[in-house]
Amino acid sequence: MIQIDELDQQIIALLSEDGRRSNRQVAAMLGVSEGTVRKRLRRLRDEGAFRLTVIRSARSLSIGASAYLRLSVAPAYLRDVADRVSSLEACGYAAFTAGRYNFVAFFLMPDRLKLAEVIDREILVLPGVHHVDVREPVVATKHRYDLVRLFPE
Amino acid sequence: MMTDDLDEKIIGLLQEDPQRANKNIAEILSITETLVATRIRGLIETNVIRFVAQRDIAAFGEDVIAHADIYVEGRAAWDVAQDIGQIASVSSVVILTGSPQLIVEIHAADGPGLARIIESEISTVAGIERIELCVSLDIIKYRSDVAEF
Repeated sequence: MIQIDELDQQIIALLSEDGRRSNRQVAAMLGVSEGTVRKRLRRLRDEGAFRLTVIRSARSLSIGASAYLRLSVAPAYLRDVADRVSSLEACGYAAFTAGRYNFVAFFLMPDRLKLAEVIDREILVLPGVHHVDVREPVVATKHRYDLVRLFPE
Repeated sequence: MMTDDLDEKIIGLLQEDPQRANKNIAEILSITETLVATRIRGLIETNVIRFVAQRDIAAFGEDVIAHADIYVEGRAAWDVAQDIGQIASVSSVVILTGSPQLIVEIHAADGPGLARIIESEISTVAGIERIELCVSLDIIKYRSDVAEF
């Protein structure tokens, strides 16, 4: 786990309030140099702890369907299946899990027909896939897209 | 709202660097700074983009992500979703067409932390008949640039 000190926390707090604040403004508010703010932000981003970003609404990307897929996969094939499924563009979340299913993925698709096609043509055909359980959300009532997993760049 | 080519170019530049000055975008695209500002304001107001500061939960001490299927009984799923949404450790709540009625994403520091959230925060919400938990052991992809808003 990376070290996040008091100054990092203060920079993160100011940018969480307003992500369009410039480094110069943040530096002035904290009484440090602009270079310091820039260096701190670069380190946090490179280590995958914090980033400023622009997110898109699903609607503006013509995403009209989503699904949680839970897969039951023969253990010998699990790693290959995970690589293939997670590399699909429409896959937004992928993880190995414990229990009845050993892999989960979240998919974002233009519509339900496309979703059915991906499951049928790209996932169920993979060697070792026994079963795919599909759960289709119709609406999100909460989504904290500011609290995520980031992977080092 | 549909975006045009210019909108997409501006979005692309902002995704590379969200702190990029409007002046810089204007120079790259050979348009006026006023037009850049107008377009960005339009994209925000019509809910195409949002500027967001994202934290990695693991870097802040929360290593466990679990998805809970919530089976609702004797109460509207929407009402249960509202109550569960009040819990800080619950990062997302979706409503499904069938059963289970809800899937919620939970962030926890560790196993005991997750158990405590399930037992003393989620289970106390009225209308929950059953909870089935799916704990992520190893996350290999987490795309965080798209959301419903």
